[in-house]
Amino acid sequence: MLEINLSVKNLSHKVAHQAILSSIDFDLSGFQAVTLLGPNGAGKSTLLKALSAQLYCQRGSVDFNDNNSENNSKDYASQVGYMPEIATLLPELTVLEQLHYSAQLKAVKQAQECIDQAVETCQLQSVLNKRTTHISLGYRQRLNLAQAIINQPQLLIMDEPLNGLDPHLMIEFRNIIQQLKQKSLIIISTHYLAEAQIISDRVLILQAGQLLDNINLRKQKKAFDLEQTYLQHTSVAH
Amino acid sequence: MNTFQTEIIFFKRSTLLWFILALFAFVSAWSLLMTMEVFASVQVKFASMSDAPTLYQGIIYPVMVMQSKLMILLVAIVAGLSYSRLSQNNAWPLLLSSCQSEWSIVVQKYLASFVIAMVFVLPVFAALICLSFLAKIAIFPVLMSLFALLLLIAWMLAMGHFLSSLVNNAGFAVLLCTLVLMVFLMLSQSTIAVTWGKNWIQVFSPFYHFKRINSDIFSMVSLFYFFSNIALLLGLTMIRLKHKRYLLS
Repeated sequence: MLEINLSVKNLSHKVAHQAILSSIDFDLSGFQAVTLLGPNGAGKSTLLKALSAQLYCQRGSVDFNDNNSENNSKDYASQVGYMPEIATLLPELTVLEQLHYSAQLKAVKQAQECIDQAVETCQLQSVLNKRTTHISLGYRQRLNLAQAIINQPQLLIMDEPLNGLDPHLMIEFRNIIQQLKQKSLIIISTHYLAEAQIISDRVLILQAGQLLDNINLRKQKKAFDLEQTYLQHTSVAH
Repeated sequence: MNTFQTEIIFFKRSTLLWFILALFAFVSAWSLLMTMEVFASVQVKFASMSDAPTLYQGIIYPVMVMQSKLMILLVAIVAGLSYSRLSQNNAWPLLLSSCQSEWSIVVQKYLASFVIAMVFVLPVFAALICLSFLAKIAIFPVLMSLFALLLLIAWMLAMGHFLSSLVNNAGFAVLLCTLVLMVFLMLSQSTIAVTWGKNWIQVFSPFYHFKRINSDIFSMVSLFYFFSNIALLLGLTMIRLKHKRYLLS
């Protein structure tokens, strides 16, 4: 089995003298789903941007499989998939063109094969020739995910992927995530605690830019209440 | 599909852009016809003049100067939208998480906008070359003029791309590009008395160098000005793209 390792060391970032991230430290290894929990403004999206090498923090480092996100950004980016909260769609392109463009940006070698696989995973067959602006929110999120997995990443970062999804789609996304975590390390930020408990193997709780807890759900007892733990952490921090 | 093709598709499928650019083409063609008509109507007066303007001075030169001014609008739209529209479509994560180098993205976007600009300029070029053949005007000065216009367009596009990378609003980017290019146009028309010596303000304007080459004054300084500035502006755009990774937006 391929060994993968994400190492975040002393990650800090300030904007206008306000700390957005403060000395974040954690190590994650192996294929698993990790959920990032925290109230609005806790720094979840900022942390995910740093993990996807879109943001270079003022202090600290992010390394994935010995590739540093800043010094070795191209190799790092080739192993990472990022699904932003709001889909990154170019309105002039069709769904298929958008996927081809994403594959090219990610320097995917066997592009057609990877696109076919992403289309199948995200069930996009029926909208391939439609413009990205002419598809429903559900399909936009599917396309958003398809773009993130087009390079078959070992590290998949998803920023609030469940937002605005109807229950059917949420279940479908849950199944896709379960499927993807067999071959990737997935980091998801969400506000849905029940979903987090179902899909994740580990939970990180973030508050005011600080990592409050790192809970391995696999080692918890069946009676473990994530909601209670989360509320305890965040209310103490408040 | 690469960034170059994506840019071409964006322009190909934007209805509003085609409408604006069709207006540009109409004004451009109309100005050429009007210049020819005016020149023909004053032929009788020219007959009595000892230093009557040649066809080149009377038609080609003013048409090229007119084109250079019209290009401000075209470039402001084509280049102004190049990066600013990414912010409006929330498409920056696509580029920032890419494995392509920033330089490759900058160059591909730049080349695509150059190709788009050429779509609108080439008919004018073709018309002027045909005119020079039919009227038996020396072709070299005409080709020099066209070369000067190409250099000016390349410079303005590079400036437009840099400005576009600085702002997040597409409309504001187009406005900013128009404003900055107009300032450069005005700089070239600065009329400080010659007795004060060389007008250094003019030298900073690409329109000044364009007019020099267009007036058959070929100088390496002007060539160096265009090529060095284009490289510098594209370099600054690349730095701006890299800088985006240090900003939280």
